[in-house]
Amino acid sequence: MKGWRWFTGLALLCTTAVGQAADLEIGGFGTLSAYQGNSEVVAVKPRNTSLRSSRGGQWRFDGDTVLAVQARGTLTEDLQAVWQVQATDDVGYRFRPRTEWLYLGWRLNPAWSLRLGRQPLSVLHHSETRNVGLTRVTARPMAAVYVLTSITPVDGANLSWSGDAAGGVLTVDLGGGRFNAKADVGRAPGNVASLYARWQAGALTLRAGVSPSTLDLVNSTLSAQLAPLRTPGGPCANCDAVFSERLQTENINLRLYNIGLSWKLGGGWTLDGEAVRRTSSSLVTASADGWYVLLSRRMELLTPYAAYGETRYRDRPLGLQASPGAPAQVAASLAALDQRLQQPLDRSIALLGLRWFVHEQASLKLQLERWQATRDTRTPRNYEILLPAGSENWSGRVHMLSANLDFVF
Amino acid sequence: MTAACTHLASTRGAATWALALLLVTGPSQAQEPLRVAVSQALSPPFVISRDNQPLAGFDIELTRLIAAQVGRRAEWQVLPRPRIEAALAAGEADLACNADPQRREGVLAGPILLEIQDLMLGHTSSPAADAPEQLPAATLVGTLLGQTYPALDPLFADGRLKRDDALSDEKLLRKLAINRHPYGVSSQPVVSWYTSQEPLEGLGGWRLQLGSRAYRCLVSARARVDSRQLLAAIAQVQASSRAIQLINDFLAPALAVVVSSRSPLKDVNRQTLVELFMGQRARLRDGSLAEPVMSADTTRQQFFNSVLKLAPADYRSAWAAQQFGGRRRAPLELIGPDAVKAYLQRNNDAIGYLPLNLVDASMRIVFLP
Repeated sequence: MKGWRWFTGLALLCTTAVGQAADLEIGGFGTLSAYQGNSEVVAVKPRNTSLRSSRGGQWRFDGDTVLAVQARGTLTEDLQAVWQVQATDDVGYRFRPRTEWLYLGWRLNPAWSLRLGRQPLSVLHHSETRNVGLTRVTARPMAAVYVLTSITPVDGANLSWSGDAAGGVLTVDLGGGRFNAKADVGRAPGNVASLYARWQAGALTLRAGVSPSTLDLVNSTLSAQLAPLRTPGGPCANCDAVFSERLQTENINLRLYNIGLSWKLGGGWTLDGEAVRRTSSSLVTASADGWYVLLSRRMELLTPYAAYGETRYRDRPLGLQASPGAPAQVAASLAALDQRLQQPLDRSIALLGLRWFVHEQASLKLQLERWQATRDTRTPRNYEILLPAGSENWSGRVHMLSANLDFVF
Repeated sequence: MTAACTHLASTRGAATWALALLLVTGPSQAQEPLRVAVSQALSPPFVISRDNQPLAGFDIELTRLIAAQVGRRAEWQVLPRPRIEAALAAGEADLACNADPQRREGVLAGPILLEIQDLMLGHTSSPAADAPEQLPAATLVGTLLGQTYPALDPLFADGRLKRDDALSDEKLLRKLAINRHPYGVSSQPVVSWYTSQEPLEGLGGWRLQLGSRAYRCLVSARARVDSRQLLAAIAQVQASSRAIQLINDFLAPALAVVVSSRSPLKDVNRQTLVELFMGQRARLRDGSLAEPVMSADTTRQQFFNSVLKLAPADYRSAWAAQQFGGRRRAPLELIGPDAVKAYLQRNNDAIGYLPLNLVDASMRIVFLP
């Protein structure tokens, strides 16, 4: 309740500020997207926050599709208010407009600035611009890394410093706040902090960041499903103890570590790379690593690109044990549950694409991705790859073809 | 560009007359080439040489066109600068372009083809100047042997400044780059060539306009081709679209990156400009704020090509990340150079770009591509 009051107050302040601004700038961006997955067994979707998915060559037009409008009011030389509303196919919203940014920004002096309000924090390279397709080469941030964070806006503050250092320009961000992430398995309110640094000198940009957070998973379905196993005298001998130790749904401690680079090699070639490690105190958000490299070449208005990345989950088995005297199939079911809870979603992603700047303010992208499950092809999953329970004949490979038109206005 | 085009347009009437003259006399069928004297002092983009043989450049292509107009092929003779007019007067050469007319007998001056800006520039360690009079007494200034400089000659004459003559613009700039003299004077096309085509480390970014000088061709009264016919051919070439194409190819219209003359900013390099206009930095290296300002007219594309060396889409993409990613707003885009100039005059922190011919004493050139 306090959060709502705080947010409402800020919204009133910002909208009043935008309305009173001496200089008002209205702009926006968007993406029109089409995609299809080629597998008859599994469905795919461009982002794990998307609601719908494609299977068997079906074309869908949601996924990356987004429309956003932003108002920026400059109140004084050093004070501005920004309000950005996005409509996209996110779980829990389904194209209903929602506030992505709503903040007051102060330039405290030439080096320091402060944002106060709703904002995505700087954690990964595309954290702040995940839906602004025109700002990057690929159709969307590389899933190998970005699947490991939901990049939910927080209600909080971000302090930024920028200045010359070691022959380049160094930017350091320190931020924190509260969030309430929505997912198709429930919602996850929590607190997050972020420390992020970016150093750029000529053709080379290096990035590093760390982001600790604490969250609760509010998912009555999961709790209900697991409850019978925790009952004393039930079919599982150690589920209650194991779940208490490794499957907490409250006060989950997450930590994201990120490094990245962007290097313009000359001749139009650019090498980008990013790696992230997620550590977690609970299997609900399993510990995992992700990385990718992206090579692109700018040729006039065209930019062909290729990328490869991997995601690996690192949690060990829970070791669920059937109670003495339980039927044999109970042990098999517990083994399958154990496997599923470890999230054996390891995969590699290879993609090829072409970006074409059809206009200064618009680009068309065609991208073909091959996702390969590298650890398990049977355990049901419901992320960017949707494998229903009982699907035994998936090869572990699926292709997704995307065509995106990104624009700003 | 503007000055050059004005001259070209104003001479279309003369070209019509020249064409009529040519039709009456008919092009010469003689096989002897037109002898074109080329000064050793000339540098790219006027003359591009290899092994002391002129191969290309504005002067070479222009004289090739003039020769073709009189039905000849051109043959270039490389001579020391002071020898050019003597050779024309003696009938040892027929034509010379990009030369100062000395009113010597037997040498005829053609029409002014375009105006060339003279610029003062400095080594990176030399303070920028807003006027030649600001230079310390007895400062050594790199100059071209035999070249007159109306804006500086009085200061040379009374000893406040000292000449350090070089045989060519290229040698002058190379000496300046290694700080053999702290300041130098060269023409805008030459400076732009060495800034963009063959960047010389050591040259500061600021430029000070010293006025313009006329570019014209001289014709020998004892030329192999009738001198009237040669002058008419020059006028005809001047009026042709190929001359405009030559200007565009070799003498890219000058665009200056400028600030108000009241701004503390004296000098900026290309890398800093790219970082500033692409939103990678909000402050200059000395910590002061700088507000980039764009002009939405045709100079915008020229700015992308010659200064940022990036496509407009890259610019838009970079600023979209800033604008919609919780950072800064994109630079102001004003309607045209006059609006940019007025804005710069009102805002000392602002930095923008203007055609060189719009730069006056209220502006300071901090970078010239």
